[in-house]
Parts: sequence; structure tokens; C-alpha cells
Amino acid sequence: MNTIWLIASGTFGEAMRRKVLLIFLFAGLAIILMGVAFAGLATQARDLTVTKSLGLGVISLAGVFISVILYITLIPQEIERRTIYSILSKPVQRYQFLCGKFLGGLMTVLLNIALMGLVFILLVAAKQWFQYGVNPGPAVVAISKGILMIFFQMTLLGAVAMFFSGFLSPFVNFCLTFAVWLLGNASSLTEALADPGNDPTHPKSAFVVGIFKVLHVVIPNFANYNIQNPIINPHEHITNEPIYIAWNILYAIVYTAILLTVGSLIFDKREV
Amino acid sequence: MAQDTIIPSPDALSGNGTAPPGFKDGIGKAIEIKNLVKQYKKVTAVNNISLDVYEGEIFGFLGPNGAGKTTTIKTLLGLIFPTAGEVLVLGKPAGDIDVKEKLSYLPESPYFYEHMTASEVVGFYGSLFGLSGATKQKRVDELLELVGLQNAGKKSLRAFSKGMLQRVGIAQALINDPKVLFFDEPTSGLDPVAHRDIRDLILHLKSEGRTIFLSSHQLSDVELVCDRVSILHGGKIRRLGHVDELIAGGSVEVVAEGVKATEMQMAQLRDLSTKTEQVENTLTITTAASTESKNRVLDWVRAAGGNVLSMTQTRRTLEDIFYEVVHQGELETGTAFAVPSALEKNLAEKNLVEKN
Repeated sequence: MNTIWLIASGTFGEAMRRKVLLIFLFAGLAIILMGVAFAGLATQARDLTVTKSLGLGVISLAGVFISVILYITLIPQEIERRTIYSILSKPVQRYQFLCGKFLGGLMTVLLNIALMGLVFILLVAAKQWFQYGVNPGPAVVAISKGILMIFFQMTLLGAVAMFFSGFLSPFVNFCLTFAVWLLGNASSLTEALADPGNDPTHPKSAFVVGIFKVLHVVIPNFANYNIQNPIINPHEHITNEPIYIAWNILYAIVYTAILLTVGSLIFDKREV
Repeated sequence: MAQDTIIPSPDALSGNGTAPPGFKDGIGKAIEIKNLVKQYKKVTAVNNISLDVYEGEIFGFLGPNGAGKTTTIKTLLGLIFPTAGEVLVLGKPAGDIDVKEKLSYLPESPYFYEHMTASEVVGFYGSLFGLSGATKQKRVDELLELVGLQNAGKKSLRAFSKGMLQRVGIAQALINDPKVLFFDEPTSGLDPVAHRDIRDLILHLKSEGRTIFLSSHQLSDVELVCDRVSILHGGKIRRLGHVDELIAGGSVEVVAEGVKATEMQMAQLRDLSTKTEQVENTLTITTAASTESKNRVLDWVRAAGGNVLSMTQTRRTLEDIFYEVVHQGELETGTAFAVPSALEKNLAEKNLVEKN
């Protein structure tokens, strides 16, 4: 564990200084600031809806770019700069290296999302308190839950990119990870397409149904982490919310563990 | 100088046999490469090479770019895997975690996490070996002093020159007090002072009993520091042996005047020499550099009634051997330069000017 932690902290230090990631962080922060400043043109209820929607959307989108760009380049960059040679020639197992890189990436993603989230929460709370004289507690709790779910969504996305980076080039990895991201967000669609249906006049091809069944099971369900609607709209509620959130966090952890295990087995055979 | 080419026996090329000269018989083998083949799709990067490196030896691993040097080193470190053959380091398969505790690697032009200081980087690698606390810091300080960075330990690597980074690389390579060191172009891109410092350091490491597997294009350094060398070309070992053996030979040029030789004496001379050249009254005879050859030529000159004007010995260098091997390999594979050697042309022109 010590080796994994060492590699993770080295990775984190490097990643936090990468300009391309800082651009997404500062762009995200700028949009959140502008969103909070300009949304107040509408009514109080409408204002909060726009602010929450924009803020969570920006954090999610910036998180996606930070995660994908970071994870698709973590291993290739180590190979290109030859850092991997001086590390793997030491008593370091390949799974320790892969897990260390993943953990370092995750710390970077967490810090970026936390920074954006913190600024967003503070702005919303200040606006609620000072502009409308409303207790910001419920909004802060709701937004925190949304940010937590975004973080676990990014954990899952990072694990997918990390898994592919074990055997794909960064460009192919970028395309494939985004394809998985899009399909995972359209899980209701893949679920519907995987349903054979009951209409005898329009029978579905068993092959197509089979493919979508496999896709629906294999591709991580990113859509489950989008809980913006209940946060934005006070009339929408998630049934049994704590269990829903806990279950999806567990899903992200287990799925990530599986991807890292299979990824480690592949990386163990990879020539660097 | 082609007449002096040493063609090693198949046994020597396969790396079998006893310890090299200067090493006691029965000394352990630090590295054993047995019939190593490494193939990438249709390209054979390493083609059935075998060699042994003995404990306490500095072994030079030479070859032009693309000869298979880095591929072999990566195989020895377990970074890539052999297509065929066997690779052992300290008696265990390459990549074995116990072996990694006792070896170290300095890659060519190493890169380290730039946000760290020199002390942090060396400490980082020390932690990978389980070093911690005061023990680690003491070792880090010792090594930074050894490589002359004791005053730069707190500086970020961003501010480091290439030479300083190379020194950090060496310090990290020594953090585990390794038995076997793999150095890939350790003096690449360094200024002459840093170059010499690193060469001296390599000799110092040998004096401590460490085994060093040195890949370098700096042939003069290799000649100075290595006990044995192998020269690769096209993935095959073309020469393998003790440096002194490889560069042994050379030639002697005897210039004589007033020689009045009979037909029979001239026939004898052809057997004694490798080249003869007569310009008016002066005869230049080239022969092998051995004492026996020299004496026989001198006796011949006296017997033919001539006077010896001068005798010059030409020493072969590792560069000569390297060029010979690589050029031969290039001719075999059809990759030799189509233009004549500019160096040879220059020398020829110079001789002409001097004669005129």
C-alpha cells in the first residue's frame, strides 16, 4: 500500500501542475461565477433553478474533461518520458504502479471537483442568505449530494479510461472512453433497445436485442449519477435517496475495482 | 587494419567458458543471457544472443542505433519479455521482485517529476525500496554529496541542467546500494567535466565490487573503463571479448632506404608484411605489431642491405574495431553509406599535401 501511495502522491503532484487541466478548472470556476452573478435576472425560484442547473452542469462537464484527459495520458506520458523505466525497474509490481497512477489521478479529480464545488456552494449559500434572506442549508445539502455523485461518476469514467490506456493509444482511448460515456448516459435507451418487446407485428431481431443487452450490462450506468433534476426541481424526489446514493457509490467502487483488476492483468503482460 | 581483425571463436560469442582474464575462475555470473530472441512483428530486434557478465565486471554493451542494445537492457529489467531464450540476473529470471531489490537502472536522458527537489526525487526512489525516516535522509544526503549536488538538494528539478539531472539519475540509481547497475548512455549530452566525473564515478563503483552493464556510444570511455565489451549489429553479437584482446594488434610501419632485394627476398617480404610501398629509393613496409613480426622485418631489411629510417607503431582503438564491425554489418545488410568516408578522404588529401 505504501508503494501505491508513493506513486499516487508523485502522480498527484505532477497532474496538479498540468496546464491543460488547470484551464478546465479555471474555465469551470469562471462559468460558475458568471452563472451565479447573472442568474438573478429572473424570479427567486427561477434564479435558484438556473444557478443550480448551470453550476452542477459545469462541474460535471469540467470533471469529464479533466478525468478523461488526465487518465488517457497518465500511462503513455510515463512511457514517453521514460519515468516508468526507473520506477518499474525498482521493486514495484505492475499492479501497484497502475493502482498508484489511478489513485493519484483520482486525488487530482477530487481536488478539482471539490474546488469547483466549494466555490459553487459558497456562492449559492451567500446568494440565498444575503439576497433572498433564505436559510441556505437545504440547498447546500442538495448540491453537496450532487457533487458527491459527480465525483463517483468521474471515478467510474477515470477507471474506464485507465483500463483502456493499458492497451490503447491516447487518441483511440479518448474516442472510446467518450463513446462509453455517452452510451452509459443513455442507459435508459440501451435498456429499451435490449427489451425484446411484446408487439408481434414489429418483432425485434434477437441479435440486435442481444447486443444491446450486453451493452446495457457491460457499460457502466453513468446516468444513475445524474441527480440534478431532483436537486434543481423541489417537486421531484428520489425514492429512498440515501439507499439510492449508497448503492450507486458501491456500484462505482465495485466496477472500478473490477476494471483495475482486469487492467492490471493486461498491464502485467504489456511491454513498456 | 583489416588483417588484425579478431574473429572470436563460437564459444566466445556464445558467452560460454570461463571467467574473463583478470577474473578468478568460479566467480559468479551477475547476468546470463541465453539465446535471447526478441521479435516485434516482422522485425527481429535481438537475434539469438548469448553472453555472461561476471560479478564485479564493467561490461560495455556497444552497437549503433537500432542494434538491439536498449531492447536487451529492457529485457534484463523485465520491462519487455523475450520471444525466445532465457535471461537471468543474479541467478533469477529478469523482472523477479527480489532481484529488483539488488539492481538499478539509469535510463538515457532520464526525466523525473519536476515539481520535486533533487532531495525529494532521490528520497522518492528510496521509499520504493522501503527506506524511510532518518536512514533514508542520510542515504539521500550521502548520494547527493557523491554526485556533487549537496548544495542543490533543495532546488526544484525545473531549474536543473541536463548534467545535473543526469547526476540526480545516478544518485537515484545508487539509493538501494545495488549489486548490478544498468547504465544506458550515462554521459549523453554532458559537458566534458561532467562527462569525466561520471566516468570516474563508474570506476569508483567498480572498485566497490559492483557489476556495471554499460551501454554507450562514447567509445573512448568504454575503452577506458570496461573490462569486456560486446559489439552488436543487426541484433547479433559481432564481437565479444576483453577490451585489451579486441584492440590488440595494430600495425608497425618500417621505412627503409637502399634496399637491394633479390626476387626470393621480395617473395619472403610478401609473407612477412601486410603492405609494401616503394617510392624511388624508399621502401615502406607495414606489418603486424607483434615483436616477432617487427624483428623479422628488421632482419629482412638488414639482409637486403637497407637502412631503417623510421619505425612507427599504430595502435588500434575500440573505435577502429567498432567501425570495422558496424561497417561490415552495414555491407552485409546493404545499409552502408554510399559516399566514401569523408574522414578517409580528408586524410588522403592531407598526406598528399604533406608529400608535396
